[in-house]
Amino acid sequence: MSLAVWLPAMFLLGLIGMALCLAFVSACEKI
Amino acid sequence: MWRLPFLIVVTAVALSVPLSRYLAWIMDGTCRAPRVLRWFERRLDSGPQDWKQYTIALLVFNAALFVYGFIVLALQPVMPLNPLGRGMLAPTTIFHSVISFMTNTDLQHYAGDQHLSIFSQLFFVIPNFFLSAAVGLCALTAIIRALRGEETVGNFFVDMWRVLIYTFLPIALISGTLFLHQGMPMTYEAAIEVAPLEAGAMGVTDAREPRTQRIVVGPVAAFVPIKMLGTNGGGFYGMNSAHPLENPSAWSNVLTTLLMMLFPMALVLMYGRMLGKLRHAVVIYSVMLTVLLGLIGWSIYWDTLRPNPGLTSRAAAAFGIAGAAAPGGQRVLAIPAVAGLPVNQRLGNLEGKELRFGTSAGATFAAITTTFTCGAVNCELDSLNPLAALSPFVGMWLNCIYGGKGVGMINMLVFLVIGIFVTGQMVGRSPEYLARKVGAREMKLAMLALLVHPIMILGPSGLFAATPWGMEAVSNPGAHGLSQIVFQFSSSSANNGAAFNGLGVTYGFNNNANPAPSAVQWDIAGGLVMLFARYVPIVAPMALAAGLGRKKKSPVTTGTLRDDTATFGFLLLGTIFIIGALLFLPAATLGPLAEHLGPIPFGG
Repeated sequence: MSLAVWLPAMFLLGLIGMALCLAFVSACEKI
Repeated sequence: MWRLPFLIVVTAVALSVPLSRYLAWIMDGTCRAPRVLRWFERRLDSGPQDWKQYTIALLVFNAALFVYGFIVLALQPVMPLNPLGRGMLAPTTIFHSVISFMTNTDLQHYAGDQHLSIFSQLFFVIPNFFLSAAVGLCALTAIIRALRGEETVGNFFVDMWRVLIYTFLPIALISGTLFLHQGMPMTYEAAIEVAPLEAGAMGVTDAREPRTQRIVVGPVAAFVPIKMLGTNGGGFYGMNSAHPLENPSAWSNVLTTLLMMLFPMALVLMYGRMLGKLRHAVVIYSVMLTVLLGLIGWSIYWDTLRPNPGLTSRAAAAFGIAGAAAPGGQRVLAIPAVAGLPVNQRLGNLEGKELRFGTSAGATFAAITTTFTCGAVNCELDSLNPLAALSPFVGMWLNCIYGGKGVGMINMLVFLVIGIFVTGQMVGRSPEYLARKVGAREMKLAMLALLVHPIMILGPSGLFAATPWGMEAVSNPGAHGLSQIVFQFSSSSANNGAAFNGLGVTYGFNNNANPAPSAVQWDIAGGLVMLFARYVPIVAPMALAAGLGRKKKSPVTTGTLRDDTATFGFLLLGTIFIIGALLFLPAATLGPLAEHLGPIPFGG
């Protein structure tokens, strides 16, 4: 698979996943 | 047969008591470390944190682990300590592996001895073993402080330091020395070349000379102690704890099993000690122990005491099953003539077992490794008799029977809150836990934490079972194939890491011309499941505990539900089983149960 596409895409996907978890902290506070 | 599991469980219970006292002493901050270590502790102490600051610190630390792990694996081909010239893994496999190790799952879509360099094992895998394991323990400690009603729940970085330096490191050093004594390799060499006993067994060279055998070695004795102690489970070798260099003897097998049980068991008692409610913790501990004994007994009964149904239960025959591509829409599967062979089945199902550990060692290990969310394996789980395979499934589905370090007890807290709420509704009293009223907010957070696990298992399992992504990956048709798919997502969601095997999910190196057909989909889906199933069930209970701890304590009256009695234990047991059955019985019925009752053992 093309490293130029897949490597940054997978890196970003992981960071987005972590960012969603961080957003979940704020969501929990509002419950 | 029964002596091995008895010895292991009794020893683990006996050791968990003093360890729980030690852990409470360390995590309560009452221990006085040597001056040098206190100096480091002070440097790390950024001040007291409330639950939100603590949780954000935990998540940011994990995000940093992701970045670090991604860089190390992506640069593997150009890093030192790579004498065997390991190349770069496919980017999706890097994504899966980094999340897998960061979340303490350690499910591997690669074989450690075939795909990782010594550098990656030393600087990616081993640090993750220590750090990801410590994160769960820190989260539990913060929850306990919140439940005590403290405004601040400690400092994440100081807690990490204490867990790593005062607990994991010394115990890993001692057990590593014992493993060295048992014959585990510890070297920076990557491989040794040996002449096989049978000349030519590895083939011959062009000059007709017998080939030598290459045996991969490395810092295995540094790797295995924290792999087990931290309930990590990822193998240095693809065969994991079935490999003779990763688990050299029957004694090393007993020690590895004990190590994975120690901390999760001790943490339940630590929970009680730090809350000042040891009797309550003993009730929880007893419930967990009862289920654990049941799962071990079930596994041994249906695997070690029962022959392999694929060999004995049915005579050689042929079965027709639906197959769109087959002539007449019927695919004929021949059950091989091995059914007629005089195979001695006295020792039970021996397929995929390492008999050097003992006849029941595989079944015992399978039940324990999935209950304690370790995921190391010393036998082929795919070859367990169908009903015996229910035991690992149940361990991962409940995910609160000791479980991983810290997170197992956190999951049990969710079951406690739900059980108490349901009981309160039944008798018409306001539900209370630790003398504080459980309200709508606590229930919403508990349900969020509870439901993420089945959603992460059943949703992707259904998707993959209904599409070529799953159908191309399974190695057996029918119920056994479904079990392979469900197991993979159960292991990912429980942050367990055990592999049922038989599932084609490996892409390998990026230049691999022949990867598994749906490896990319499995990598991405598995990575996302591990990520969300790790942090949602940590964050929601943190918020729950903080909210509960802030509430005013209610006075204890004669109508208060006591949480330190046998009745409470039965209530908890019932809650766990009813919720577990409601969530997962359909999956169990379509997988292992259908396979046991169906006409084609092991799917043909």
